[in-house]
Parts: sequence; C-alpha cells; structure tokens
Amino acid sequence: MRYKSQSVAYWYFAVALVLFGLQLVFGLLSATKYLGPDPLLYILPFDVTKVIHTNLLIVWVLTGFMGATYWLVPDESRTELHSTKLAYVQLILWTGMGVAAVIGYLFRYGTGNKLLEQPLPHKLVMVVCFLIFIYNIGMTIKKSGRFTTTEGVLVLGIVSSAVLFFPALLYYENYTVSIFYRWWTIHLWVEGVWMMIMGAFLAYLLIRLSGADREVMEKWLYVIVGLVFLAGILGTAHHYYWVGVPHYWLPIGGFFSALEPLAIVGMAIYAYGAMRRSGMSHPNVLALHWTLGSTIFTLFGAGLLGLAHTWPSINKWTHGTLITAMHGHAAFYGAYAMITLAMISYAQPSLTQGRPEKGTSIGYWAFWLQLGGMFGMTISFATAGIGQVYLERIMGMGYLDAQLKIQIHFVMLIICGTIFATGVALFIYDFFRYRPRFDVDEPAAEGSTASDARVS
Amino acid sequence: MERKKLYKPIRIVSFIVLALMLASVLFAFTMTGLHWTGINV
Amino acid sequence: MNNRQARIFAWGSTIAAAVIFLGLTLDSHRQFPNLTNAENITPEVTHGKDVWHKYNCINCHTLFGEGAYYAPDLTKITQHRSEAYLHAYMRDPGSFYDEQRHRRLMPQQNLSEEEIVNLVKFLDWVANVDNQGWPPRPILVTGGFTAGPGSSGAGQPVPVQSSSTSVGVRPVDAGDDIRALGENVFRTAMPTCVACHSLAPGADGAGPSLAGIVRRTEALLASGNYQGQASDVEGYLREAIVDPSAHLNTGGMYSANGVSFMPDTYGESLSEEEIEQLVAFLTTLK
Repeated sequence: MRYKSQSVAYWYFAVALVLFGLQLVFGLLSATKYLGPDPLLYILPFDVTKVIHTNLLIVWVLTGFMGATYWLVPDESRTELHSTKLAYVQLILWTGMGVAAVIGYLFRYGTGNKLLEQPLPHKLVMVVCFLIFIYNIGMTIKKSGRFTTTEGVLVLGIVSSAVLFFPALLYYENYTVSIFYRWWTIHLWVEGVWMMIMGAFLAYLLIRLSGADREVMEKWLYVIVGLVFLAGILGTAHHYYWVGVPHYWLPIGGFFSALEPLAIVGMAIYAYGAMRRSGMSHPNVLALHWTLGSTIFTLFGAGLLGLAHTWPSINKWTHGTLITAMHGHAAFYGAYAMITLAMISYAQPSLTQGRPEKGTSIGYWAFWLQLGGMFGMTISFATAGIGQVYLERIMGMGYLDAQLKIQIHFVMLIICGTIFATGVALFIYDFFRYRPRFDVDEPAAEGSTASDARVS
Repeated sequence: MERKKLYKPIRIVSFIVLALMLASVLFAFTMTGLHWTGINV
Repeated sequence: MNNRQARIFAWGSTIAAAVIFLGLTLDSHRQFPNLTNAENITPEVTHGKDVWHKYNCINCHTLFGEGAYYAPDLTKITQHRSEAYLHAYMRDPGSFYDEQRHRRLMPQQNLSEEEIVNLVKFLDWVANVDNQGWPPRPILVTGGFTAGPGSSGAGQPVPVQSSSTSVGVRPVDAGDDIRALGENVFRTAMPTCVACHSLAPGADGAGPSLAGIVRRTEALLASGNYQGQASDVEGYLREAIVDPSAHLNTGGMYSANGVSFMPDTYGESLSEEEIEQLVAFLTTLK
C-alpha cells in the first residue's frame, strides 16, 4: 500500500465478502427446495430465497468494484483519495441499503421486478451512493492531474453504470415496455459497462502482475472496450426474444450476441499474451491465479455457454429453462466474482499485516475448491436444463412432471455447491485472518517503478 | 477515526456468516437424505 | 494498429452501436401499441400487473420465459386454463396440487378477490401479446402429449406449426376416418384439450384423464347419479364438451360452486362437425 487512504478498500472488501457468504446461504436454500416438500414453505419460500440470492450478488459485486476502485485510483493517479470520509459515508449508506433491502425481502417488501426488486427509496439511496462515488473518484483524479487510460475506462464504466440505472427508476404501464428498459440496466450493466470495469481491473492487474508494457496493454484495452460495446449494445437484443417486441430483434440478437464472445476471447488472449511475454515473475502468485482464472472462466461461462443458447432458433426451445441458470452462474462467477476476488487477492498482502505476498495455502485451496465447485454446479444446471428442454419443451411433458425427472441433478448441484461454498468459506476465513494495516508500507514512488514509468 | 476497533466486530460477523453457511450446507444434506427415496428418474 | 487507431475503434464502434440501438428503440416504440394490444391495458390489467409484482411471482414463475425456473411458465396460461379454474386455484393452490406427489407446492398467497380477478386479466393480456410465436409448442403445467396412445403416425413427418398444439398431430384431410379427424380436433382445439386431459389411465391433470371414459360414462349413466340431459355415451360426451357444468364430475379440483373449471367456449369455437368428430374420437377411449 503506497497511499494511506487506500485502506478504505479493506472495509469495502470485508463487507463484500460477508455478503458473498450470505449469498451462498440463500443459494443453497433455494437449491434444496428442488428436492422435495419444503419445511420452510411458509418461512422462506423459494421466491424470497431466490430474490435475496440474486440481490446479494449484485450488491456484493458492486461493493467489491467500489473497493477495488478505491484501491486502484490512488495507485494509478499517485495521490491520496480526495476524501476517505466520503468513502466511508458511501460504504455505510450502501451497506445499510443492502441490508435493509434483504430484510425487506424477508417480509415481501420489494417491487417484484426481476433483478430490480429494490423498492424506490433503496434505489434512490443507490443513486446517492453512485454520486458520492463518482464525485470522490473524479476529485481524486482531478487533484492529481494524472489520468491513465486504465482509469479512464474504469471511470467511464462507473459513470455509465450510474446513468444506465436511470431507466430502473421509472414506472412503466406496459409490461413489455418495462421488460424492454429493464434490460437497459441489467444487460448493459452486465455485458457492457461492467465488462468495461472488468477490463480496466484486468489491465491494471496485468500491468502490475506481469510487468507488461503499459502502452501495449492500454492499446488492447481500447480494442476490447470497442468489441464489448459493438457486440454488447446490440446484443441486448438477445433479451428481447419472445417478449413482445418487433421481430427484427431476433436476427439482430442472434448476430451480435454471437459476436460477444469475441471481446471475451480477446480478453483471454490479452491476459495470456501478457503473461507469456513478460513472465509470471510477480510474487503474488495467488492474484495471478485469480486474474488468469477469471479470463478463462469468463470465456467458458459467458462466452461458450452464452453462445450455446443465444441463437434464436435454439433459444426458442431453451428460453426460460435451467439452461439460463447454467449460463448465468458460470458467467457471473467468472467475469465478476473472480475479477473482484483477483483484486482482493492482489491488494490484501499490503492491506493486512503479516500476510505472505505469494498467498497462503488456504488461499490456493479457496481458489481450486471454488473453481471446481462452480464448474460442477454449471454442469449440474446444464444436465438438468438439457433434460428439461427435451422432456418439457420438445416432448411436451408437463412442467411439474418433467421437474420430477430431473431432480437427481439437484443432488449433484448441492454437492458441487457445497464444494464451492467450502472454497468461499476458506476465502472469507483467510481474508479475516490477518488484521488490517493503516500505514504506508512502501514509499509513494513518483514514476519510479518500471511498470509505472510509461503513461499514455 | 478508530477504524482498528472495527476489525473485531466485522471478524465476528464473518464467523456468523461462516456458521450460517455451514448450517445451510447441513440443512441441504439433511433434506437430501430425507427426500432420498422420493427422488426418482 | 497504434494507440490512436485503437481509441478511434473503441469510440467509433460504441457510437455506431448506440446510434443503431437507439434508432431501433424508437421504431420499437412505434410498434409496441400494436404488438402488445396496448388498447387492452385497462386499469384492471395494470392492477393485475401490480399484483404480479407485489407478490413477487416472477421469482418462481416465468412470464415470456423470464423469471425464475422453480414454477411453470405462465405466458399462455389463460389459453390452457379457464378463468374459473385460475380463480379457484389462486384462492387455494394446495387443493389443486399435492406437495407429496408433486414434490413442491405454491404457498397460499391470500389475495383478495379483486386482486385475483385482475391478476388473471393481466395474465390474459400477456397471453395475447404478439411475442414472436413463443413458445413453439405449448408448455404444459402437468400431463403431456407423450402420455397416451396415437402419437404421430408411422413414417409421417410431423409439421411444426408455431403457437399451435402440434406435437404428435398427424396431418389429416377431410377424407380421413371421422375418429382420426376427431383426434386432430382433440389435439388442436383452443384452449388445448391436452393441457388438462391426458389419455393415460390414472394420469389426471387439471382435468380427469380421459382413458376409459366410455366405461366410466356407461357406469355413470347406469348408476342414477347422473344430473344431465343425455341418454347415451355420445350424448353425454357432446354435453360435456358444449356445457361442461351440466353434470359435475367428482372432486373439488374440477369445479367450484356448481361450475366446472372446463372452458365453456367450445360450443362456439368448434363447428358442429368438429364436435361430432371429437365425440367420435372420444368414444374410442374404452
């Protein structure tokens, strides 16, 4: 840690990891309900556990993004944060909002709009948090006068996230129109601006970890951003299948979402190329694992599994089945959970006292158990989903009867989910094992290190 | 700000969450066992 | 490619994609009223939508295939179930499905009568949205097309028609046997017969299985418990199609307050000839 104010990231990461753990609790509860009569039917019915599961995901990933940004910006701009106080206020507001939302869902206080279930007051608090965040980051960069491309992409990603949240605040009379704009927020977050944020984190980590040349890395970052938006914006169309919009969205969705893996393949090549060219000499090997792992798992989950059911003539059979759950779990985990965990792994040796730079052995167990567990979960959803598509959609068996035939895959889901949860538990335990530090451990180098020397 | 003091509470919270995770895993396996004979293909 | 060209590519492709996207958005708005029958969005439908949101339905069910995957898709539910059925179902889901048998159950939602009526109105609006012909084959809640004799004919291709009951439907022409024509009516009439009735013994859906309907009808007519006007099996079947409430079948699952849950629209939607064919088919189910 070069700048004292970077230590705010610790608290963001701490909150993010606690919420991550909670997310899994509700995920496991939801999976269990597929097995048979549910003793929690009137205490925690499926709709409640599921809404909490997905909302915690959004909240913890965003908390992680914010923490990672507060870590990254001082490093890139070589200055202290504009205001650590604002950063803490933002964290308290944000966490309060998240916790209040989850408690509200337990009592069915929500808007029932998929993934945007947060009631309006909560959404307004989110807007306030975004604004504080953008202001704080913007002032930091302005004060330093040093603005790198990586930062630029990151800030643009954050600002666009806030802007794209706007349609979620409005009320729509027509259900189809409300779906149309819901995806402006959700899809353009996930496959647009969050990808941009992920790309920025990736570039930052690769520059630091592999010592790759900044100018080359940032050039390719531009190319990736271009590809992300070229495919991502028009790729929104794949959410407009079968919801009552004009027919031309079908071919557009098919074509542009088939292009979406390009950007993801680009990212993986980018990471692999950087590592090959410059070697994996950085002592923080654990962070390297997470960084490379993230690009590879994104390629698998978002790229390959997304492509598997994105073409309209395939999607008309798989739409609204567990095939979507398969893709969703692998894609979100690979792209957003893993990149956040990569940033945490990169930052934590200098955020805490006495942690070895190369990572602890618990840290490696956490990595491999999570990876294996999530891979198994994805396969469980895939086998269940394929069964569901053939029995229910193609053979015409009734939904409830088809579900009985695919129950066994949920046993596998729970086993793999447990392996995954073990990995997450180890990560959480490992994170909190060392106490945080609030002092600077290396002098703030003014353009001294090799990787920092060239700024575009 | 005495942020160091916050380490302990959040560490305790993290242990609570870990305990909840363990509880949900145990619950999931209990239910798997209970419903084992009801699961058919 | 140098840094500047990469930057131009990033901005250029983003702006191009955004411009096209916004253009298509405008055009979609032009078409929404038509595609979604916006004139039918009455205050009741809007209230029904709010009920849908308020009770968090989408985190178990799907609508247009969007939502969670723990409960059936409801996009076309009003084409598979009568209003009376849906109202009764919403009052007490537990009397329609058994948690032990189906391994899961919808919790009692305690909706007011007004909420129930408007929710079903909303679902009916959804069912009529032009959603690009999805689902390609009806998504049923229980039962299914495969559970019964006489699926598609040997060696004959099965035409896949969008938004019709096409699985296992043998193509027919007017010269075919009346029973074959009747089976075709059974599989293609709207609302879909097979959405509720299976042909497999004991496989009751939202309606009773029709396997052995002839034997059961004969027993019923002989028993003296029959309340309708018919005097023979054909007459009974015709009456059951046209006026489902004339004689109520056993069980609270199939009717409420003396009214059958079976849609009473077949008398109008089917021609006299089709009803005759359907009866002829049903009398084969000894």
